[in-house]
Amino acid sequence: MKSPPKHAERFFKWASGQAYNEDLLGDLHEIFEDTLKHKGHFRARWEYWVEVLKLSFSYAIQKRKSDSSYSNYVSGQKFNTMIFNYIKISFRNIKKQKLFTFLNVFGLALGMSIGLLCLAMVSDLKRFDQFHDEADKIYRITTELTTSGDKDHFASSPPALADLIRNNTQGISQSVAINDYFFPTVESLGDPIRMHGYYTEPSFFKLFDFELQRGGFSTIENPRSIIITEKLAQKLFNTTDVIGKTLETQNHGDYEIGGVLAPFPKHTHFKFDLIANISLANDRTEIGATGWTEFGSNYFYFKSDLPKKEIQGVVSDLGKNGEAFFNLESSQAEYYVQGITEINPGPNYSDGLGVIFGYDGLLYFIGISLMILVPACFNYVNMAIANTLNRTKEIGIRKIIGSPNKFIIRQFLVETVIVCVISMLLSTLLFNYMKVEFTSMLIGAEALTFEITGEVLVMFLGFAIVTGLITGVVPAIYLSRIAPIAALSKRINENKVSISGFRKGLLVFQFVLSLSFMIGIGVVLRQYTHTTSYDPGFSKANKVIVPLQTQDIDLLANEMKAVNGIENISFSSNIPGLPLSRSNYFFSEDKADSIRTREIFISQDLVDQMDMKMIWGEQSLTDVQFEQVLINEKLLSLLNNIENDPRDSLIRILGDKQVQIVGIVADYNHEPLNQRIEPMVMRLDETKFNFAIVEITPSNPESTVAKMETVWNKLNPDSQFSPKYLETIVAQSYDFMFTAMKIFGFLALVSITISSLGLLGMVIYSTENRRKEVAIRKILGANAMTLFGNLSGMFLKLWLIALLIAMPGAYLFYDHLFVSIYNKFSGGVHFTEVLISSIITLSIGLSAILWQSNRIIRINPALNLRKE
Amino acid sequence: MKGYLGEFEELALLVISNLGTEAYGTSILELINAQTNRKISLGALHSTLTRLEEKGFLSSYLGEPTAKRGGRRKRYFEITQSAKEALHNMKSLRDELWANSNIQLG
Repeated sequence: MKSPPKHAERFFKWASGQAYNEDLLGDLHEIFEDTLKHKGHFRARWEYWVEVLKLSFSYAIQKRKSDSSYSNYVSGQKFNTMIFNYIKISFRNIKKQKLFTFLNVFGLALGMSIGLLCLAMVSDLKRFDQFHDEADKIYRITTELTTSGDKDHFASSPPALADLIRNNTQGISQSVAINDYFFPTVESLGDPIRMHGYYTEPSFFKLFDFELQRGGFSTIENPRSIIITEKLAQKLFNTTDVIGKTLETQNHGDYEIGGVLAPFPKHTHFKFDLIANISLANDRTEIGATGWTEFGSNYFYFKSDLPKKEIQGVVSDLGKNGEAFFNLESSQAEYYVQGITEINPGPNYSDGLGVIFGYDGLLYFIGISLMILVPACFNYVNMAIANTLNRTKEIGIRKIIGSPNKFIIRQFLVETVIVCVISMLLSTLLFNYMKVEFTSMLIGAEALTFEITGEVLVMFLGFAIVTGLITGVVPAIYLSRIAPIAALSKRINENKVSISGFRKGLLVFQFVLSLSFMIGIGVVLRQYTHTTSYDPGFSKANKVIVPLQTQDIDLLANEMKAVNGIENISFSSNIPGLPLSRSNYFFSEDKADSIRTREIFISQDLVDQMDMKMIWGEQSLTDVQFEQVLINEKLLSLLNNIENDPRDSLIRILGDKQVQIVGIVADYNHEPLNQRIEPMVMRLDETKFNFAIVEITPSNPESTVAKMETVWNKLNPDSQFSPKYLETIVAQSYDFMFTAMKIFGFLALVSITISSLGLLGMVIYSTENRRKEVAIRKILGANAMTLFGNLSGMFLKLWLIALLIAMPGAYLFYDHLFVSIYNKFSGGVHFTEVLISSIITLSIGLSAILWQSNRIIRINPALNLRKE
Repeated sequence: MKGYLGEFEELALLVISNLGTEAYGTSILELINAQTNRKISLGALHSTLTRLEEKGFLSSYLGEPTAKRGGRRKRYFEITQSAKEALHNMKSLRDELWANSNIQLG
């Protein structure tokens, strides 16, 4: 005989509580047996559950429960009634202690603000790429490459594998290959606009839900046709009516615009300005060694109904076909299937496509938000315990009436939760302001909307409640343990004018945080000033950078050199001091692997003009038999055979071309100082110049520039002359440090405010408790100064301890940990930062004490003593 | 109004009086479901029974444990005198209204 589901029965017993339910259980059982006979076991169990649920919420059970709880013999827990009572008393207490509540709410609101930002960001990321049709069935292939023990996980995958999967696998309904190495630039009003495009297939629009505003998706079947985003159309043409227009790019030829995409949801990891046919990507057609091993920038997305595990198996099997090619490079590749919705937030893979918010970044962010929130919670704990005196009578009476400890605990938890929810509401206002700032600080943050939806609000509320519960536990337990008699006779705390060790610890912790953040501002500031004084290895002074258009370089050089005030002119593809994006592969016989090098194109006299140092060889390049190149020391150190053999022809392969090394340039910081010096090749190719670097005499630069403009306009009447000083350009490239300073500044401000609030609370409490002592001291003849010293003694001690912890802590953090985020290129933590931040925290603390103690000292001592 | 009877309440009272001494949760439910071709849940039925008991139309007592229904006792229901009066009032009101009306089927 089968019996009704046990869990349902247990649930029903729990739901009916004290109420009599034997007859109801009997009825349920009878119905169960009946259904079992007629409709089978499964159906019977199911209907039993339904009946149990309906009965549990029915009036019959409610009535029986309320009847039974009025009985004298059963002590029913009427939680609903009690919770209203808790809330009522909480509001009364909050009203009664306006100052403490204000300090707490304000502190917690600041503390929560970053947590809210964090939550909103996570909720944003969870929605990433959900808008595609059947997004849970879209996957991509990622590659884990192991080269001599080093593992690296790439978001890209070999195109050869993509072809195999496409041709040999059933159950894949849609697939698309994407190559994102597509950076066309167009000339628009003199400023080159660099765009980012994807080479892909028409199926891109079948797999992903991007909508067209104009034109047709099929247009990109034509290789010279592209589809652009609405944003780009507006930027380039100020209209979206651009079908059939030609986009003349400087580096990729001309394209016809075949379609304009409608604005699409921000919540996607795809980030592109235009879409072109994949047949234009260079390495697509080659299947063989390069189709496998050179998979950088190639991505493969597909849709499949199969479970992920099954696809994973198929992909791993097909991946074995490429093993031989990877073995030649002494590496192994493993392939993994990743769902499109798992990309954000997801693991931080190399060679990622589009906008990625990795787990590590998110974790860092969560860590910071906790670092801000925890001190605010500590403040609350601190003040709540300090405030015990005001609550002891209430607790005593409650206990004597017969309230168990847990009721008192609940009272304080409810109170804390209410304070936290109020703070959360205030914090949401702060959040609205902060999200604007934050979006401007974070790279890729423009993909985040930080919208406050219903779901986000619920998350905020949950966050406030959880914060409240965690924060409230310590004071609640502490207060519930007070013995009722001691509480009523006020014996508690009578002699405790000092602050307990635990609370001192909390105060020290807050000081440490404030000090560290302030030292952080100092460190970043120092980094910034360092960039302006540091010698990058080339001279920045008196150089004017002129962006080139298509013009005769020799003619321009000759005409310019004739201008009075111009000392020299040279040409380059990139501006020294700015990031270099162009790279190439350098091959040397002694190395199995190619070396990825940065590559720039320069004119003959650039090295001389920029005062760069040559280690060896000629600084001028002349195109003889092979293309001649200069390399930097860094690259030299990777090519270990050059020194060994002086008769080396010095002919190497760069990309697909043979080049001859004719000189070695001393390492210089071509890129901003936060980048390491990378191996670099300087080539001579007149067609690739983008900028003219004009050296002018220091006297009267304005008139020289004006003369240059006349020459320019004579030579190129159609194009714009837009010169900039190299020093200005280089200084601008360090703007990112302002962002870092802003972040530190904000964090420091928040944490200083929170710890000041906490300190103020402590000071108010301890001075209040010392009224009598101060009065007696005053009567005995102490003056204001000694009294002040008396009151601030404890604070000074704590502050000193904090300083002793913060100094080595900040040193460890900024000098060792911080390096991994922003390269350390100045001295790190200096004495000045420590001194300034110490003075600031000290003066804030002392002024709080001065304010409060002044209040007490001024009162006529007789008034303070009269109470007894 | 204390004496007011809803349609379902009336039905329940009549079914209980039909069942005589065998009126308890499941049997009432089965009869209602069979006669009216409705699917009433146990929760809804017991809620109504509880309300009727509050209004004084029903009285109940616990039976003896039996081997069926997991050895649990039944709660038997009986209609009270005031229920009989209320039912009669309702019927006579209806009869009167019917007699004066001219409703005819088809």
